[in-house]
Amino acid sequence: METVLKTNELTKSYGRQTVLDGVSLEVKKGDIYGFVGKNGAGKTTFIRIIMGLAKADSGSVELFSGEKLEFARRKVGSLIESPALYTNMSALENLKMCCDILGEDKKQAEEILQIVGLSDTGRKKAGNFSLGMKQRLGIGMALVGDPELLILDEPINGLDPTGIVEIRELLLRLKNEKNKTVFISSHILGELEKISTRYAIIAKGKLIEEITAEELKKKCGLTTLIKTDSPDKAEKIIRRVLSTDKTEVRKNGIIAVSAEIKNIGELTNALYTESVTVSEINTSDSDAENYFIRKMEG
Amino acid sequence: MGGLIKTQLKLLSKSKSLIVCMIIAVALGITMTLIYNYFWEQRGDKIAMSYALMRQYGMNTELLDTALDSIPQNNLWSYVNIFFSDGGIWLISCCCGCAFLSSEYNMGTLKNPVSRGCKRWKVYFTKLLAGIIDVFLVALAYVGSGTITAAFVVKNNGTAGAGDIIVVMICYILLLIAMASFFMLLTVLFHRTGFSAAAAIAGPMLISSLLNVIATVNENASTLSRYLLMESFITVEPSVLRGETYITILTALAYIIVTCTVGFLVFRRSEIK
Repeated sequence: METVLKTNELTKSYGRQTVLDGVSLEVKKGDIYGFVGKNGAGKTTFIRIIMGLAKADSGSVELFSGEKLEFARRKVGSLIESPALYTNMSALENLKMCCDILGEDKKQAEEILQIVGLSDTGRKKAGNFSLGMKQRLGIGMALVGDPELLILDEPINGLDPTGIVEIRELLLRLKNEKNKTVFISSHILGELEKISTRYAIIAKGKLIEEITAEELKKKCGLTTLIKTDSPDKAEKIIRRVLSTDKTEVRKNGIIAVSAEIKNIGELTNALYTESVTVSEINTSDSDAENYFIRKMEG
Repeated sequence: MGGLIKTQLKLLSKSKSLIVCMIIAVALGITMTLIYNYFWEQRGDKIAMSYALMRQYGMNTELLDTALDSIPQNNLWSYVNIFFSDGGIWLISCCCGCAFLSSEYNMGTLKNPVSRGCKRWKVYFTKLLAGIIDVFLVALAYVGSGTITAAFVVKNNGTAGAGDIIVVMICYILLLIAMASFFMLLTVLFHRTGFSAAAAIAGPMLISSLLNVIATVNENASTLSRYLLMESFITVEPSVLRGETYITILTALAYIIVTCTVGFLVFRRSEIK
């Protein structure tokens, strides 16, 4: 598959602090690439270097298999940190400004407004938009010129649950209907897990791991979450019945069982006969969140 | 490049700071004309009284005539020169120019062209071009409103020779461009309106004061102060009359070249936030 973004040993320091330490990764066409890391891990610096807003001390960036960066960046739409909006203009005017910058036809501005769900904002100034509307307009501005690659830095930061769902659906739609490649950085792991096809985990400026969604699933396996009235006692019973030590009592009292449970009835009977009340049993496809956290903390 | 210029002009047309500064410039231009004219008329009365007394006592007025020749006349052209050199343009343009030039740093919209592969020199020079237009509009509002008011209140509408006017205006235009380039450099260095405007106002004043102090022990310092940008506005007309126009032109060009070069080098290397 065609490589749309490749970095080789990107390194960047501010004074004595190294914020990026030899980061090499590769994004393939059609990926929704999740860039996972804590705050201050170096995600934004990495993106800023890719977009030409900052210079790396060493290493290189390749876009679209080595196209000249000046031209290649025209095919990349980005939303970095906060949306770069002309606050004294309406959403439509903002998009038209972007069209002017790129020398693009302004007709696409109205279509993009519809895609990001802001077509009813009229003459309202972008400075008066809610955070969610600003984020959507930011994504809209990234869509000007029909870019092949979208680079979004924390696009769901500060959004309410509805806003998060809207952005998620928008990104999935862009990938599925418009065949965009999306590079998305976030520290909100649960959200990334829902849409990403590949991941890179970064911690303290170093790339810890690059992994596909399938590999991640295999590594994490199926997790069963059991809620009981006495977690510690229940954990011992589960370990005995399932003959496994792959259990963990989480802070909220829920027991996470990473081993396969062939007969759930047998397990609940065992708990019942030892006077443990089971109030909830759920299965989770993967326990990626814990996996990411373990990796990020080294 | 055309698209970038278009966006800058659109930003300029939507700039609140420009509108506010132009209103202030017009108000200041009218007020200053009335004040200057009042003092000129006061002085005219005193001069007429002096002439009358000298004639009454049979004194020779030749010396007074010579002295009066060197004093600016109360005519429209004098007003144009005064408005360019009284510091008003500098103050209003500082606020307006720095506010406009740093607005994109505040909004973070400089990211838009740079992240889309626009060359930084194009971004820098389109911004500078808009900054120059911004400064010109403010200057026009100040000098224009003042001169139009003067046309109504000043009795003597005489002007200098047409050739002089063109040369002097070219000098002023070059100095305004140098001023805008200087503001652009400060904006690139400080990013914030407050810092860059403060540096644009306080910096030249501080240097001028220092040179004045040094001039008390070293005469070369007073020669140096002639090449300060702010001082150059004051010396335009005298320089033209003395046949030293080239000094003003070279000073302005030197400022334009140095500030643009340094500003661009800083902008090329700086991180865009």
